[in-house]
Amino acid sequence: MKITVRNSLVDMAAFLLHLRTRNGRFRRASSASRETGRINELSSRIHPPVQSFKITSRTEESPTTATFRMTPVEPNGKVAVFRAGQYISVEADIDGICISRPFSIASPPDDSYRENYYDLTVRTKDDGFLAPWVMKNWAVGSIVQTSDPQGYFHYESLRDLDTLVCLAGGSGVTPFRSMIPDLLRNEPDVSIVLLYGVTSPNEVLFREDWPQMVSKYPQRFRFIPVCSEPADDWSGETGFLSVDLIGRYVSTPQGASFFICGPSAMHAFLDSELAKLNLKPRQVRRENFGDGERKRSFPGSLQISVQIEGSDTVLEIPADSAETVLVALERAGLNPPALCRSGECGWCRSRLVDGAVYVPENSDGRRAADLKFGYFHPCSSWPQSNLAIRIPRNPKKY
Amino acid sequence: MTASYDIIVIGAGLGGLGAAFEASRAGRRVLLLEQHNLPGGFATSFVRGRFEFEPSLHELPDVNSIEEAAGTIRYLVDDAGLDIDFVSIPEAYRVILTENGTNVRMPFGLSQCADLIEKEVPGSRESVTAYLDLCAEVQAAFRALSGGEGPPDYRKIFKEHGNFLRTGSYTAEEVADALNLPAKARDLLYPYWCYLGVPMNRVSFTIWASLLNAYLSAGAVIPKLRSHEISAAFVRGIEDHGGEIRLNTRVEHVLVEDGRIQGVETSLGERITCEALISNASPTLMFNFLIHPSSAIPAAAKKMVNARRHGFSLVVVYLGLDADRHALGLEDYSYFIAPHMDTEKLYQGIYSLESDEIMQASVCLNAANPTCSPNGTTILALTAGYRSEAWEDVRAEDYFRVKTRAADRLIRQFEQATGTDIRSHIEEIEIATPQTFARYTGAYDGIVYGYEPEPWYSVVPRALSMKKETFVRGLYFCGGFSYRCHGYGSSILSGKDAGETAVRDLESGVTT
Repeated sequence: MKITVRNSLVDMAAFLLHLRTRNGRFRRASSASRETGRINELSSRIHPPVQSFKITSRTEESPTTATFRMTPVEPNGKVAVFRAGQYISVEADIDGICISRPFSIASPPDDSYRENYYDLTVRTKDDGFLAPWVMKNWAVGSIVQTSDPQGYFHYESLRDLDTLVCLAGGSGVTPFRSMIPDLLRNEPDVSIVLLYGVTSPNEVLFREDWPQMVSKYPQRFRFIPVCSEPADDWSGETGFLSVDLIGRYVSTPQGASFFICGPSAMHAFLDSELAKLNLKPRQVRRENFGDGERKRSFPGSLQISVQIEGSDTVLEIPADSAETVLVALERAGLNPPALCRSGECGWCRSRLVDGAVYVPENSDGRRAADLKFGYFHPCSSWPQSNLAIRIPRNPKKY
Repeated sequence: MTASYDIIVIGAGLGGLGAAFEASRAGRRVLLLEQHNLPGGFATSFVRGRFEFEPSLHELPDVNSIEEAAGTIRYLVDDAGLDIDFVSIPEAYRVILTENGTNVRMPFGLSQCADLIEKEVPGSRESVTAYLDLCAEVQAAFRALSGGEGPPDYRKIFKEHGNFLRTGSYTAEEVADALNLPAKARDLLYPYWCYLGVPMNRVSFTIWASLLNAYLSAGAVIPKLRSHEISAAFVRGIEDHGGEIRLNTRVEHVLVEDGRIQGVETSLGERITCEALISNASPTLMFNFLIHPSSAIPAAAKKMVNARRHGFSLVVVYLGLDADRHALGLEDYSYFIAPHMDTEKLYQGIYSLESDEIMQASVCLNAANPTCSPNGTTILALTAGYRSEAWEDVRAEDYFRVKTRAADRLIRQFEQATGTDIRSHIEEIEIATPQTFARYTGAYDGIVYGYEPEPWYSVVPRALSMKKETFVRGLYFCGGFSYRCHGYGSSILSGKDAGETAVRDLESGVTT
């Protein structure tokens, strides 16, 4: 069937005039250059590739813990925006070895934006590598490089319920020092119970902040420190964060969202405890603190052949089945990209050319097609044999 | 450090992957540079909890074209020989228009579509059939023309594809009017406009007809392991053919001297020379920010960029739900939901964050790919077009609140239109905005679609003037901003074309 839109001749002529229309439009257009896109600018305020800070104060929270306040080095620089509960990855060059570790931002977003700072709280005993170095070396005036804010451990109003049960262990309380005041100020329907497990009372962090929040929001916030090795004068809760303990403060756990942050031993304990409550997965958010430790079940002394993208050289480095592949790469001074160190962000994604690794199920963030085509996340993989791998370059110049 | 390659490809989006694949398959020394830590651009995936989400692909149409020359699937599987498993989309789509109560499931197959529309709009069969036949004819012509290597043979086109020529300068609306397509029939056929992102009174009929026919007549597929499977398979293919890929490597400068490509400088301080450069980065980025020195950017190139209207971006709400899709009442794969199908009004609506004139194209992945998430769970992604302008004035400090509100609107619209309860089953949620797309792909203003394909700048005029629009010898474009327009298939094939052309030009010495 012959189709006519206007009439046959006009239709055909119009087609032939196509290019003339195009040429005319091009001729008449402005030859001005474009500015950087406003959305690209917004993006660089939310996810700058790197942030440089100067430490402006250091507060000792306990003999092993300090809170560092940091502000952008650039005179007009602003801290990247974040969701309360997120972390930044801190970089350090320790004796020629570049490493990075995630630290939760311990200040609420509103305060951070208003006065242009982040608080980071560091405790020596959580991390054998970076934290002691930070405690020794960071002082007022020190310059610190970090990533943009990262991570999925944050309240989400479209998902989470109005009762929040926050379960913290040790320095795992740091994200709650950002999240809880943020929610109390900005989410009027939310009420919160913080159950905070510590070994001894003098390990309670931000000990002056919690009572202040309670007195400001007495109907909506309860603060319950739980001491596992209390002194005689301790009158509060004792033991671990068990279901019995939770039940004393949360009348209907089925109507609550649980946020859990602490060492892996606490997560393991809570996994079995919370199983008794039959919670739905949507009610439970977890953040792991610190590199996981594993028993040495395979040979201690292994070799990894490493090729870095953009180079033909293959390096042979030592590895240990009790440490992740990422740690082996860092020990060898290779400066691989890494952010979350728990398998989820994929920033360290690398090619596994040959060999076997163990990946714990709860930190296996690999994509299905990456499994098919032989990629893995070194930060959550423990070598079980000698390996051959190819790693991406670190995008940041130091 | 200076190294040298025959061909450098900037950006490992689908176009860049296709280009690097073709060029390395042809035996050229190829280097593919990507700023992100993953290949794929929009064709990727991300994991949250126990869900792996598909960020962008709804369907690759044209599955029956495996026997034909130009189909994307046929290219990927048979020609390129990539290791990708596909699963089929069960039905075309469900259309829900809340203002007039339309709620119809469109089948695949042109006669099935005509039957269904006749049932819904009695007496429409004749014009609907003529319309769908015309769309099929236009796509056939389009395919025949885009397969060839030399300039088009107009006499042949005139003889064999007269309707293609006669409708080629009109908008989709003008052609529908000429065929007296009833308004109600348009309600059922037009929802697919959202994949072109230009209202029917402005979009090129040629492009529209090809797209609609490709989908309705032949059905569609998706890769089983999300579109990251396509990207990872391409990378495997490129490396098998000796091509090299560097991730985390941003091209800062494209070096041009005497109107000719010299090489690139990267964010890691490398200077790498090349004979030819294929850019998956858009002409907008190339002619405003990449070419160095800036005095080497021809004014005509900037005019060309400014004359085109940039397409829209998206907001996508990715939901991992903690119930089976049947229990949730999600019986369809693809849902088009809008107050009405006045595409001009819908297009105006996406300039504002507060508008209720929003159309969403939403996909329940499990309906096509039952094993995409654990038993008893469902992946649902709600997608709406947004002009980047709607997000320009958002303060960084308000960004998370603003995007949560945008997601809330889409969820509410979906629940109200389908009568389902989604909200109380959300286990994982992620919200992508123009900012998200800008962050991961580097796209100018986070634009997802390329330049708008109006008749004067549809695929035909683009193809005819392709050579004139690179302005720099040794420079080629591919991807969603190049001559085939945006979309998965177009981007992949534009990469293939650019790779082949660059290789051919190198062999004949045209680039020097």
